Amino acid sequence: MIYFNPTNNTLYDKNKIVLKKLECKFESRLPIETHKEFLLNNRCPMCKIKVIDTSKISESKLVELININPNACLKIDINQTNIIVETYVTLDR
Amino acid sequence: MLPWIVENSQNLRCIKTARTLDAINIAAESGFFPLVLIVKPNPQITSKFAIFQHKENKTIRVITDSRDSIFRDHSEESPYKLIVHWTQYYPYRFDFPYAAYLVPSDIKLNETVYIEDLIEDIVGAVWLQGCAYRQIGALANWDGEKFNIHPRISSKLYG
Repeated sequence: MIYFNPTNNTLYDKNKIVLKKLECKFESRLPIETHKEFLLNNRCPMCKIKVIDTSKISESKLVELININPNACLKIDINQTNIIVETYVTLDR
Repeated sequence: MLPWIVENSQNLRCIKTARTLDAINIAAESGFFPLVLIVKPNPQITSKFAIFQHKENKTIRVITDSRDSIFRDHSEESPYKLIVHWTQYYPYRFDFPYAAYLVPSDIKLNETVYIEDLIEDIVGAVWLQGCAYRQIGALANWDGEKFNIHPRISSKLYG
């Protein structure tokens, strides 16, 4: 299971070790309508790189993916079913 | 409007936020106008927790998601006992009850800017288990006195 803290936008592995902090510098600058483009093309309209949807990925696959490419661009929905939300892990804001 | 923002979002002026007295005054002395606002929690923004205690060694586990295996299995046979049922709380901490947007002296009326650290507590994401989280950054327009923030609620994150 993947853990996610929505108060610091950080993904954790099954041992609650930090996998990646999601901090797209463009996402919140873009109107919500542009998210359709993320979904349609799986490609960021700003960076033009592939966006990986984590909703169907296992924890082990995600760890492997980030180990290979720590800069991989991930998409997460806090309501997706393969994550556990943990807000007390760290509060660094 | 939409293509314009997509094309220009990299070029929008970024408004910084100062959250300490020193940072606010250093910026003011450097020519920025500090637009001071109160840091006030929005009651709509909440997270939740429950606490379980191990029946033998008395250690506790805090959970924040009802899908957590401990919560799903707190039968008589479970080694854990529920000691604090779901409790709502405000999940953010700020050191000071005030902060300021650092407004550049040459900002134009109706200029669209990007605020990277919002002071206002606006709901940015809603989780279906009854929790809501802050919007961190936002587009905004300067009306001469304040920033009119473009609210956006999305449960999706990228990065």
